[in-house]
Amino acid sequence: MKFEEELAKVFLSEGAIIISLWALFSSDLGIFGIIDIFLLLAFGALIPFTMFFDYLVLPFFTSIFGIVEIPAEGYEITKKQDAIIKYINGVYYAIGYLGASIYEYVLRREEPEENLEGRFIQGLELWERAIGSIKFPIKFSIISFQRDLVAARRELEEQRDYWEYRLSKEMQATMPNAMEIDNIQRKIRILDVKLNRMSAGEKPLGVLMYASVYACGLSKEAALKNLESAIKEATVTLGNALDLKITRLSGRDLRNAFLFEYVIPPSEKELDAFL
Amino acid sequence: MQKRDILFYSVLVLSILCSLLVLGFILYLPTIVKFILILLSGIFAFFAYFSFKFDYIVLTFLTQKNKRIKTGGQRYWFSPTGDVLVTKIGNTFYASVFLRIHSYSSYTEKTDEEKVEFVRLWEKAIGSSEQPVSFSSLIAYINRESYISAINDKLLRAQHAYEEAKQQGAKEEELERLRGEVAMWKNILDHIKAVPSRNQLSIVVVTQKGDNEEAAIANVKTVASNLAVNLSAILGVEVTQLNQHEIETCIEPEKIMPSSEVLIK
Repeated sequence: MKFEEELAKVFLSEGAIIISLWALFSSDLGIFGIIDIFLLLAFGALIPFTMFFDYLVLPFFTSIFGIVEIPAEGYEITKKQDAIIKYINGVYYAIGYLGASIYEYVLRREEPEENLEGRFIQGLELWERAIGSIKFPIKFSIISFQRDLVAARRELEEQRDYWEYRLSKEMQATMPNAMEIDNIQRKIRILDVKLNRMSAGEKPLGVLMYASVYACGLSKEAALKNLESAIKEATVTLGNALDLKITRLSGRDLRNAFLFEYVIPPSEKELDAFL
Repeated sequence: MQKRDILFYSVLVLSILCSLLVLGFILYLPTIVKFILILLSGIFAFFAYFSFKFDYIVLTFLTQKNKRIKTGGQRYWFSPTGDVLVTKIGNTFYASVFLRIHSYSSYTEKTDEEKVEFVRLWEKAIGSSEQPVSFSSLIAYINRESYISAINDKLLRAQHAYEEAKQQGAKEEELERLRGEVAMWKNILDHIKAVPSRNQLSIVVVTQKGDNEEAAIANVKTVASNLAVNLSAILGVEVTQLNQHEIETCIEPEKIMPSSEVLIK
């Protein structure tokens, strides 16, 4: 779903709320009017909240209405939208997904990669140790895709131009803020490092990381309970070993991860559409 | 216009209609009706966005009118050759090929130079494909059902032989030997059952689409064979294409953790 398209729908919905408020202020409803104001403002706030925190909103609704989604024959998504259940041969299997993202270390990004070899060695050793210590089935996946070089370069250059403009404006101010100037210069240096790497022939690569965790039990509750403990252990082990930020996937992200187990969107554009 | 857009605009129009009704008949409508109409317009405004965002749930919920809503059918099927997984999303067919990288050396055994080289090769391999590719490391339980069953048979046979010898009044030495055999098989079985054996697989998945099943399969086969050659050349290891049974072992939970392994305890 495109961000711009989604944003347009948010504005249209907020527009409808404004019309409702106009109708409300035109009528004299007394105490009912006060109730309506609060409710309309709550709905107005819920719309952008749903846009950014869909992983909280959807499970809330499916739990309230007791909706169980069946994404494919033989599978069901729990009411909390955070696990997939499969029942086969008298055993319940639960699948949970974890999203992994790299921590954005500003100081590390600012400088060209130093001691890269040492980090490589340490990273993979930790990875092997993590894999060895996990006692339950797990699948760690990386979807890599080449980004359009021209578009990626243009995007970085545009960002650089913007920060250059901000820097010159800040410098010309009557009372320049030293901290702000330092912050902008740091951002420009980060962009320079990225642009230099691209100029040196490095291809811009997009990466999507996630892990699938499996558990089972003789009842649905037992399978989900086992999955919870497996997920907790995987979060700690993978997070520490690979220096990654691990988050549990739910809602649309869970459905995508379930699909990405066997279908990888064949182009960057399609991958964007899925996400 | 997509279904979700139609749903969004329909609900939004309802919201605006409720407000316009209040504005148009402001002097004629009782307070309680105006209160309800304004409240409804707010609910519809929120629901318009909600139905756009979660169209796959809302649309199926509205059409199926059931709390167990079915948003997908058959998950996938296999090509007649059994080595390509096929699925249909909307009107497009997607075909996926699973490749296995046979790398058996442990990273910790390598020297520092070899480790750096190993990482560089992997980095090159990951960036080698023009299409999005998934690299997975799967830790699955090995299905030892037939092995455990064979050991169990031997234990039962030994127990039967011991009981028979006991009834026939065999010598104490013979009984002692048979008791020992029973204990041995029992110990072996307990040891095997204690911890499931695990297997680590490195899998690469690539997908292509097509207007029909055959086109998607042909496209993915071309891309997969090129990718297999590239990966094999870069990493210097054997890369093989998985068959139906092996693909299921990578994606189906009951194959990743066979019940014989998880319930024997």
